[in-house]
Amino acid sequence: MDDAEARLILQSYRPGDASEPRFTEALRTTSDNPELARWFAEEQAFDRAVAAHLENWPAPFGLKTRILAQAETPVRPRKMPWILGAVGFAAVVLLAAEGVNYWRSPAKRTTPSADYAREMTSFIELAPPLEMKSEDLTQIKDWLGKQRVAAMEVPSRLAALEPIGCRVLSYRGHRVTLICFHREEKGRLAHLFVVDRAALPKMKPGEKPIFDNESGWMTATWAEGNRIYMIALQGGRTAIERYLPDA
Amino acid sequence: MAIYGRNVAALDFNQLVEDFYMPLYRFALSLSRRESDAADLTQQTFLLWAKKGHQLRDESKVKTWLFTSLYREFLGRKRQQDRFVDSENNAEAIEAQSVPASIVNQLDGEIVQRALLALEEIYRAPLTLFYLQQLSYKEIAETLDIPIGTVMSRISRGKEQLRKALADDSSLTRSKPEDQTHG
Repeated sequence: MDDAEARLILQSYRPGDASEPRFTEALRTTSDNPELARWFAEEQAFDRAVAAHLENWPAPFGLKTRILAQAETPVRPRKMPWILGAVGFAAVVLLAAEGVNYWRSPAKRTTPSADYAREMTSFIELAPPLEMKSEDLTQIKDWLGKQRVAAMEVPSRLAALEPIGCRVLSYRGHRVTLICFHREEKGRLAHLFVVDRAALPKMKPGEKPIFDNESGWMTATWAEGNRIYMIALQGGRTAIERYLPDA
Repeated sequence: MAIYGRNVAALDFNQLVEDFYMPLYRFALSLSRRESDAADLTQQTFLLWAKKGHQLRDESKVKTWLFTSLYREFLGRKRQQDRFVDSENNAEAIEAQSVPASIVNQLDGEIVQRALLALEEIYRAPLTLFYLQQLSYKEIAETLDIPIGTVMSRISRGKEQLRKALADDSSLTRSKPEDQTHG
C-alpha cells in the first residue's frame, strides 16, 4: 500500500473502528512513515473538532415533547393462546356494540383537521422564534414569496390586524406558512396557518370551517382553492369566528 | 444510552426517543438544511416507528432502522419537491486545502455548520453519519443503500470539500456569518 492509498483510506477512519481490514493495513503503514503519521494525527484532530461542533447542533426547543406527544406508544401484536383469542374476540364484539352509540356522539368524533390543529398549536405553544418580523403584511408576503411557499389570501379581517411576523413550518412533508397578528385585545394573538390542500385531502372547498379545541387553543380550519387555512387563538369560538371570511 | 440487545417488544418508546432524537435531528438537518423540515423529519421517523417498529425482529437493527427510515422519508419528500439536483458526475474535483485542526477548533460553530450544510448531498449524508458516530460503516452503507467502499470514498471526498469550504471561510472571510434562516 503506497502513501496516497493509505491517506485515502485513513481519511475515513474513526478511532476504535477497525472493522474494515483495509484500515488495519493502512494504520500499519503509519508506524513506518513519520510524515504519514504526522498527517494522520492532524487528520484525526480535524475529525474530532468537526465532530465536536456537530455534537453541539441544538435541536429546536420542545422537539422531544412534540415527538412524545405525537407518536403513540407502539402497540405490538403478541401471540396468545387460541382460547384467550376467542374470549377476547367475543369481548371486543360486545364492547363494540356498546361503544357504537358512544362514538357516534358528535363531541367524540375526530375531525379531519384534528391532527393538524393539534400539531400546529403544540408548536405555537412553545413560542417558536419568527423567521421574519414586520408590521407590514406586504413585506411579510414578499418574504414568504422568496421562500417558495404557496401564494395565499389572508382573510380580510385578519389582514386588518397588525402583523408581527412569520415563519415556515412543516407538516408531514408539507410546508406550512405561519403568520402571527396582534388581536384587538391587548396582549392577545391570532395565528394564521396555510398549507397545500394535499396535506389534508379530506377537506373540501366550500365546506364550513371545522372547529377544534385543543388544550385551550381554538382553531377554525377550512379549504379554499388549493389551500387549507387555519386560524388558531386562545379563546372561544366566538372570538375566532369574527376573523373568518364571511363572518 | 440504553443497550439494544434482543427483544424489540421490550423497547421503551420514551427511552428510544431520548437516545436517538438528537442524532436523528442532526442527520435530518444535514439532509434538509432547514430546521423546521429537520424537526418534521425526526417527528415523522418516530411516528413511523410507533406504527411499524414492532415489525422489526432484531433489536440490534433499531438504530439503523431509524436512520434508514429518516433517510427514505427525506428522499421521498425530495422527489416530491423535485428541487434538488445532485450528481456524483458533476461534482467538481476539489483540491484539498490544509486547514489545521486548531483552526477548526477556534471556528464559530455556525461556520462549521454552514460549511457542512453547503456540501453536496451525496457527500453530506455519509459525512454527517461519519461524524455523528452513531453507525458503523456497514450500517451507514445500509442506511444510504450504497456499497461500503462508496461510503468511504464519499467520506474522503466530502472531507476534502469540507476542508476547502472551511479554508475559504477561515482565511478569506473571517467575518461574522450572515444570519441563517432555519425553519
